[in-house]
Amino acid sequence: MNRVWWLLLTFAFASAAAASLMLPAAGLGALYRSDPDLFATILTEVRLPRMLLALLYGAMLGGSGAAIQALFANPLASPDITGTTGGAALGAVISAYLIGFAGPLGLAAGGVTGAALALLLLLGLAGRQSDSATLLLAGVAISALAGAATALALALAPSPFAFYEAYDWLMGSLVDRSLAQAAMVAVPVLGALLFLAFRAHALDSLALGEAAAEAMGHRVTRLRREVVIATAVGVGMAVAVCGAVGFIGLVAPIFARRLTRAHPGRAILPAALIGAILLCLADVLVRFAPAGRQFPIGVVTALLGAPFFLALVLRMRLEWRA
Amino acid sequence: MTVLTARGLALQGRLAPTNLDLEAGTLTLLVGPNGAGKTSLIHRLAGVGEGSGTTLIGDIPLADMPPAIRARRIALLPASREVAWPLMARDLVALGLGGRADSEAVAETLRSLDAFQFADRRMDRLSTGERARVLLARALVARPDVLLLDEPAAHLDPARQIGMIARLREEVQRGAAVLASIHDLALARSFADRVLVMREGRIVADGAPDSALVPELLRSVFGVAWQPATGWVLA
Repeated sequence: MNRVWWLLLTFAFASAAAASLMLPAAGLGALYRSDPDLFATILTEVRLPRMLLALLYGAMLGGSGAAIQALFANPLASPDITGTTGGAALGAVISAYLIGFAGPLGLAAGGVTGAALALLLLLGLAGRQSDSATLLLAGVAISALAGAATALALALAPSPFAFYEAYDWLMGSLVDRSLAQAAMVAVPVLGALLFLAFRAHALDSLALGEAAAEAMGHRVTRLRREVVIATAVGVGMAVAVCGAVGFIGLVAPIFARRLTRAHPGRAILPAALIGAILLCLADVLVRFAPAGRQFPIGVVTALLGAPFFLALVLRMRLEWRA
Repeated sequence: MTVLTARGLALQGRLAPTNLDLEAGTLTLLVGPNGAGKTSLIHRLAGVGEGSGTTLIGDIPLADMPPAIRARRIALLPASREVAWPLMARDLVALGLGGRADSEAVAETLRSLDAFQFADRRMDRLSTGERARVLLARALVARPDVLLLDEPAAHLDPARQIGMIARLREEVQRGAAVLASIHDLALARSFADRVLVMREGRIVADGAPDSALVPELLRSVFGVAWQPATGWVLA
């Protein structure tokens, strides 16, 4: 990726972050003049955590999506389609309701464990270098299983209030999160992304097939384990705090690979930037919902992402036919 | 001079325990029927996949070599011609440099395989034969001491097969040890310094082409008769 693209992406990233802090702007100026303290509180305690979580979660989805796609040598793999986010959500719900471990750390541990189990199940079901059909089917099966089990756990919710709270969280939400929660997500997400970015060259080599990559000295079995662990930790933590958000992990790497001339590993960092920008903008969009209504952010990314996914499937079908 | 020393290479059900040394500046061609263990031997030599045994390059175990050094010592060309991503041919060849950037070496290697004209085309837009030449260029680009090639002639037309062998002879000239599996016994006979014949996971003949490719042995290994003058004979 050349310097101009890095600059553009960084600029878009900064703009999205600024938009998240400042929009909607109506009334902000007046508030600043009348009550500067309240203005500062709104910025630092309401909008700042929301902005940080959108950027971190989006970056994690984009970066891990790129890594998983490189690992499976398949552009249709992503944390949501492979059932990783679903597994994380299930893990967090089980941790909260069945074990009664609803504190932030309990949710996080549940999310990470659920994500890891879903990824391991996928590796077992779909095999190493899987064709698109096997991967999608295995992902659909895992997502369905996780979805059904989550619904069951919700049905067993101790009270209607708890049910609505959990339902709201499952749809994905960045509202009412604290700076402490943002910090809790930041450490594992940044660590996981950095860890994955250092594997860019090895993941690029996988484009030549496992045998060639191994002959080049890359330990493919270890690489697979590392990608699974990093993705499970980062995505699991983010899901535990913000709920399930779909399609960013699928879409961001596809854009990113256009900037890295199709290199799958090198696309990890650009995909993280693009994912952060996309989720941040989706979160800004959510705020312009008609007054009194809250659109879950997961619904917005799905509404925008699903047509993109369908277009991708259509293009692959046409290419296979040609 | 021996550059590669392999001891006890084995893979359950595919490759019986095998020792093999490869000399610098020799072209070794590996022949045998389907399922004889050629790919298993090549993969074990490269330390790839399952199985046992050790490979030393010089006196350093392959397993101890970091990727950047390994790229200059050994390269494996797997039999598959599939590439998962729509990389440009030029970028794919550059992957063989093990992280180094050297666009001149990439261009030079592509040119030597008559593949430079599609350096800027995507791999998924190339024919199988064109892809085969680009993938071979990837294996050659770092000028490694040892080249292990699984059926480099597959998907190539006769002229390009000869061209490919001539290119391998150039690698041998500069001192590389080249081992390639091949199905064309006439090519093996004309161009190899050393021929290995495999059957049922074992090397059953090893020597100069004239001593390894003898009609009686070939008939027992392949189940059909082969004569240097006429090639395969229905018998």
